[in-house]
Amino acid sequence: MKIIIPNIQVPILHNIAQCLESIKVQTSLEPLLWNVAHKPILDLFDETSPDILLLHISQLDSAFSMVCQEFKFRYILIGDQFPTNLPIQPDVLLTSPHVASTIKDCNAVGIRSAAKVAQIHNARYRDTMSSDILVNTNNVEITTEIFDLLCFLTEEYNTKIVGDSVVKLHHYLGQVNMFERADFLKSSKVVLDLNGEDAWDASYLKIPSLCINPIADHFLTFNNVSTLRVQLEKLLKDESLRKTYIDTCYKHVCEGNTYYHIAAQIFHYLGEKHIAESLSYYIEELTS
Amino acid sequence: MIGILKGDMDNGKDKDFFAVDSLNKLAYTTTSACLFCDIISPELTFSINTNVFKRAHMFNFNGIVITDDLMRSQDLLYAPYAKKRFLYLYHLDWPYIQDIKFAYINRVLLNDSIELIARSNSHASLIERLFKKPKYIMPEWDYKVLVEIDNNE
Repeated sequence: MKIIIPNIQVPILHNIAQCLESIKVQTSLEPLLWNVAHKPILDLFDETSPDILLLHISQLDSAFSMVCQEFKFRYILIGDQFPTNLPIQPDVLLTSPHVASTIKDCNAVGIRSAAKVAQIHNARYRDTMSSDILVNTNNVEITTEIFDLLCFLTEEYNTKIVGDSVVKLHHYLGQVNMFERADFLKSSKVVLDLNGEDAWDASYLKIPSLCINPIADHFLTFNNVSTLRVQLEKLLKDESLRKTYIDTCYKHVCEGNTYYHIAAQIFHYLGEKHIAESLSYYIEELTS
Repeated sequence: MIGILKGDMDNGKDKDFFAVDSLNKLAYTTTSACLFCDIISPELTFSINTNVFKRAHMFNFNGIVITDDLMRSQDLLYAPYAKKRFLYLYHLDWPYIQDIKFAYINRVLLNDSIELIARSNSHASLIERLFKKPKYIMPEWDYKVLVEIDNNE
């Protein structure tokens, strides 16, 4: 079964592709990344005849309408509503959790952050990457408030900062790839989540995290420097609390908060039970 | 023998002034030294009283190579005959390199074959926390520390 995933800057597409890649042997799947800049959709269908296609709503153009008339396939759409003017309707809509909760009688899955297990599972502690506090600046805008927060951290704690957003501090060590990021997470004592994503990955790696935005009820949060200091002191010095918090976070991440779980839900709605079960089984094996 | 590897040299950089001053002082000691540099501005206001070679000669050099240029430091990886390789973190300037990637830092600053030199105790403390312990502390290219390095290594 050929599943085509457009290679565009939509994180969930890459996360789904990574999950499918890890189960492709046992399910006889053929997940393919589609370079949308170089391959028009008509050529893509002529050459590959995909069974399932993932699409962003911005790709629903006249060429796609032609494809709908000429080929038989199913597709998963990322967007904010079910399109009504197309010959073929999407089988699943990936949308914001708020929109997903309002759509009845259709297969809508809310896109939420989760652990990117396929990227981080093999993370290892590395002495050269070790730190008390790790801050990842991917998808973070370095505002004055954030910069002040980072200044506080770097002055008070052994802090390392990595990621795409540049921080003019000596503790900023540059951009990292997914494997370096995973090792940095694993090599820290506490992860500071500024982007609403790292806390899930840290949870999977059994590293405690502090979140600036409440992404789930069980995560410890902070809203200013003083609450941050209190929470950090607890996590760095209170071994019992640290262990309890790590266990709680790990339990939550294993209970449906990885991209394997999300991908399984999508393929369950799509009616591909075999793929959904394989994804669920795979993550159960990894976490058991 | 010590070889100092430099990027382009002009009048604008304090570290160039101190490096040349130190090289000039080494000329009056028993420590042999030379400079590897491709471009030296003719408007340089201080004289260089030591041997100057093109950067390419560094790749055949069999002494101790020291550079204070983070972007040139990867040249150290391709100096197979060098007895020792040092990166002198004169300015803590890695956050100011455009689009810096950790892979580059890892390749150079965390490389086992490259030792680090700090400019002060406070710099050394930061460098040790972020990368590894500097082997020497050398204030402003102090020629006495260069003599010490030449004797020790």
